[in-house]
Amino acid sequence: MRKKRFLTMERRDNYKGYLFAAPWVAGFLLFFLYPLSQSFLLSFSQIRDISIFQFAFQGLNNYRNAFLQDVNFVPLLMGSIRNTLLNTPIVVVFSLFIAILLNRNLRLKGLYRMGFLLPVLLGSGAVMQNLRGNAAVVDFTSGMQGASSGIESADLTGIGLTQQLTMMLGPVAAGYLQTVLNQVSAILWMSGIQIILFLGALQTIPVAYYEAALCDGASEWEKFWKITLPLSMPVVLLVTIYTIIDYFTHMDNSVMVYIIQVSFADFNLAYGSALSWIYFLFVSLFVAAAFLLMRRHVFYMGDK
Amino acid sequence: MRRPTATGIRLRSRLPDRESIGNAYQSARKHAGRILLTGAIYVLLTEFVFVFVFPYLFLFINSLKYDFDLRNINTQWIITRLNTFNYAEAFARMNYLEGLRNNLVVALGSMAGHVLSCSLIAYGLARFRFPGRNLMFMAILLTIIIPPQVLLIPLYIQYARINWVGTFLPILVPTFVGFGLKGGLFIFIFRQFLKGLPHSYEEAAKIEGAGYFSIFFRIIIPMARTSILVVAILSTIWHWNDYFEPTIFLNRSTTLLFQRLGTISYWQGVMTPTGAYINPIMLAAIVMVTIPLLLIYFIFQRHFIRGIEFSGLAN
Repeated sequence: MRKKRFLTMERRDNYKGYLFAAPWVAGFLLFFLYPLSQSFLLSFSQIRDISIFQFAFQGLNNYRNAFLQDVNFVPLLMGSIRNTLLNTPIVVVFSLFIAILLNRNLRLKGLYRMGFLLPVLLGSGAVMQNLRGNAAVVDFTSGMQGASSGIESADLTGIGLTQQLTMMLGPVAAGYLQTVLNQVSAILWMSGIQIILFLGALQTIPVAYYEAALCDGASEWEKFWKITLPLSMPVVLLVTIYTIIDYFTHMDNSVMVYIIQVSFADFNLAYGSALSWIYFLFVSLFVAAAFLLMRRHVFYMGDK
Repeated sequence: MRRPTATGIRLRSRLPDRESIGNAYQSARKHAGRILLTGAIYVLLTEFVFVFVFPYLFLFINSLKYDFDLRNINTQWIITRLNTFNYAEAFARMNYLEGLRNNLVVALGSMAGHVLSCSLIAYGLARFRFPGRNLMFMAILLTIIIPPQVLLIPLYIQYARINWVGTFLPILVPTFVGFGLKGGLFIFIFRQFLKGLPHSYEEAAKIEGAGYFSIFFRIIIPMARTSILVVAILSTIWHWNDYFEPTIFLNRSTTLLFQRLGTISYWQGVMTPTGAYINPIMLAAIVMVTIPLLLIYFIFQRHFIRGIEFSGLAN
């Protein structure tokens, strides 16, 4: 709604936004753009001498190899995209559901909330891996740091949760439970952050709205669709974007594992960075698509 | 029996519904339904929580066992003799106090940086329609998408040049300008929450002649309490558990607890009857790494619950 062409007071005020944005721009140049451009240049080159970080320009070769020569990359990429598309809606709905339950005045509310956060508290990385009996993730850190410091991969091979389950339940039930658990617990364990975000969103909804709905005789179901959901849409958008990004860039993701293996275990840094550039282009496309799809449904109370 | 009180329902039970006035049967049925619903919620939550808690319980129990209990095929959860030696050993080998101090400096320092910088930046994004703001927002999303691993080597060279490697600075400084571990995500979180706040209070303050920074600190910050708590909790947790950047940028006396787990060798473990190797000292160490975080979280989350009452006042 453009009313006046010249600087109105409101418009002049808007330029004060730069004041708040300034520190971020400084950080962007120092801690992001410079290293990013280095990585970008690296993706077009080939290593000549790794000890002094000397690289030779090589054109688009790395990119061509990724699609035409590398038999691993494209299937991994497709699998990763499929998993993300499947899991994101489940995680979003599930975590909203749990957050609504946790937002009630339950006894031991604190303990329940703590329980759902435990996987996050326990460490999104090392300890979790330890528990699930998978050491792939930490291999490269130990590779980079040597045995003297850092996490040694041997320390983190599992304590055998799977065996424990088999022991407790017998092989058939355990096998079944395992397949279910692999899916469910992966989803549950990845939704701790989402639950917190939704809890935060639910708590910012003014109680007055619910009271008004109550006076009009609205049911729980109606309250959810007419009040809770519309008012938490900004956070639904946030959670969706976060979940997509988290799935794609999680250290467990097969493409990430592959990229890390290529760049640090095989020490082919140039090819690795070309792969990551392709990958992040895909991720960005998905994030942009999610944004555009949801934008129409997101309503901000503060918007004029 | 306490009523299930999502704040609305508490009110409803005081105001009799239109249709159930004078209808004792119906109200009794409703009451029973409510009890059932509450029961179902507890069962469901307990079930889900179990999936979350089970591994930690397993860890904790085994960290307190002696060898003979670990080898015993008949017991999983029972400890016949409590073994606290594991904890003493892990404490000494990790040089626990030094590691704990480092963890507190990194986690709490970065948390302060993130809360301060990200809320300011997000306020600029959410409330000022300056040209280029959408571009900036897209760039912020990009900083979330691209994981730190990609930027690692150029950053390392950059930090090594100014002698920051081995100090806390590479981790702390970026957080004060909205970067660092998941800085972009925190800006995004603040933006979504701040955009949901009504304008009226700010406008009133503007008319009274308040400057933007005083509006920010006096009006926005108190209203955005919930989002500040969310960011504070997440930032602390992630920094506490991060092992990627610390392994690269910290060394010797500045290493965090997570890195110090490496000083406890796996191969001193015990072969359990189920065929798994368990090193109770390692498990004790893991428990000790996470305990302070649990305490910090408990402190935060008490305020988190109180947020409910506050949000009623804000509007």
